[in-house]
Amino acid sequence: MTTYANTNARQATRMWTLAQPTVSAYVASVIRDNTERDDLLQEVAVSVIESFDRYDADRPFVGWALGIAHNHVKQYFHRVKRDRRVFDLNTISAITDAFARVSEAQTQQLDYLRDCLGALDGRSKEMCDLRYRNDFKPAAIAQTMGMTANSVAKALQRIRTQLRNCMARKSAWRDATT
Amino acid sequence: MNPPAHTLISGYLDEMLTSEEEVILARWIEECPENAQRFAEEAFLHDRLRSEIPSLAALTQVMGAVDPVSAKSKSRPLSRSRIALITGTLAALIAITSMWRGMIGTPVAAATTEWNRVVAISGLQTDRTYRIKRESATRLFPDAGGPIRVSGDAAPPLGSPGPILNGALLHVRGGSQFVLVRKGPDGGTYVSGFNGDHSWDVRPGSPVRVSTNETGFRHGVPGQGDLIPLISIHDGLESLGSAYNIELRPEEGSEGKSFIRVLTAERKSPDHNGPRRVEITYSVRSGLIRQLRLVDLPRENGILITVLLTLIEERDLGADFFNHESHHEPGLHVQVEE
Repeated sequence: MTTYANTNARQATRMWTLAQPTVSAYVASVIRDNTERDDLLQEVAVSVIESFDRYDADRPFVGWALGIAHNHVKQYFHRVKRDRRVFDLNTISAITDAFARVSEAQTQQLDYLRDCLGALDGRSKEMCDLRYRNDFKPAAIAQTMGMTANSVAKALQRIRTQLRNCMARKSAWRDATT
Repeated sequence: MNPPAHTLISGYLDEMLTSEEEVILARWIEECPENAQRFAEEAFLHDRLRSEIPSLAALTQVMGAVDPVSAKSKSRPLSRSRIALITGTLAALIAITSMWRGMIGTPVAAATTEWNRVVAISGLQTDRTYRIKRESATRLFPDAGGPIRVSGDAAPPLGSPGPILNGALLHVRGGSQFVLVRKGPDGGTYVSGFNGDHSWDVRPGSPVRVSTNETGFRHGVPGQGDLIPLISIHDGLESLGSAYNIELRPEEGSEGKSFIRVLTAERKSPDHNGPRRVEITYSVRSGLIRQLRLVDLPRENGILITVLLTLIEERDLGADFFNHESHHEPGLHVQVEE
């Protein structure tokens, strides 16, 4: 019995580790508040591990974990005030389905992110650092870098497009050479 | 005319959309699965950037350009007590800096000297406010063959529910006085502190608890019982002593007005019960700690967390700020404990 439980826990752990980046991205995409988002992700992690016995191995694990996350998001939306929700439940459902369809190949492209970040120019790196390391919003970045908030927002959009193109190029190059 | 979809998605991720634009984006996402997928892919990249960039050492150098703290403090009028505070601080800084200049020798000696300088300055009687961010958490399952690691601020189950550390504010004065403000799972505010004489705890629906025991109300705060109390930065760092290898990273931020460097302390033995690594990002000129990262700090139930403290403000908080009376309504029942 103990051996079965251990094997089950080991498998749950391994599968959650693989699914967690997708679930994390999903939760972060619909819940703005950092603390609330993190707490909700904790709750999802607990539910996934605790209910692993009910997982049907014939179905994709990521989709199953996203379903659990979706339920937690719905409960969260019922708890919080309306002005703290950006999307309604129909939009959230569409986003949940979309995350389940993000292919492994697309996820693998993100393995090149570090290389592509290294190729950015100094100012773009500085902007990324302020946005993602210091968690500054465009208005705060604008103040630090002597720009307007709109021009920072456009620059961040450009940087993300540049990173996406870079990752796609590197991925295509790998596919062509292997 | 509506903005293009990629502009809307990007604006949403950077929290730049108006409520009308958010409605347009929501309709666009619902329009067809391809649109929703495009949104998911962009959100995926955004989230990965959030977890990837803090771990990129190569980007550390650009932090020198970030100096919101000094920009804030410059515009503030100086009170008499603040002038006295600054005078005292400067005198101590001059003494410490003179000593430091004469002691620089080997890289190890230089790192140790810098460490001592930064720790000494953290004990000065200035008031500083840090925001606490839980960067990641790992739960070790001895029987499961591997740890669960949750990155990007998230954490696995942390046992009994209580005040939430992530997003908490830590106000410190000198080596030991502190006020820690946390949010509870019920949305209430939990405040605990130590005023140099007694510790206290203020929480919703309870009397104020006061104790002469300095560590009386620190339950649930990571690092308690270890050799690096999270909330006593000066005392905690001072106590690391010979159990850690200290290094001064070669890179130095050179942009902007503030020059910053990074000191790291790596635990020599896993038998030591403190964090695996401590990273201190500090101003070269003032020695002030701007960021303190505690990597793999042990908590209960085999959980290791990585916590980042970022300096957000340096200002005189007033004579009474570290007393419990400043943090609750007057007339609340006070319960004295041993």
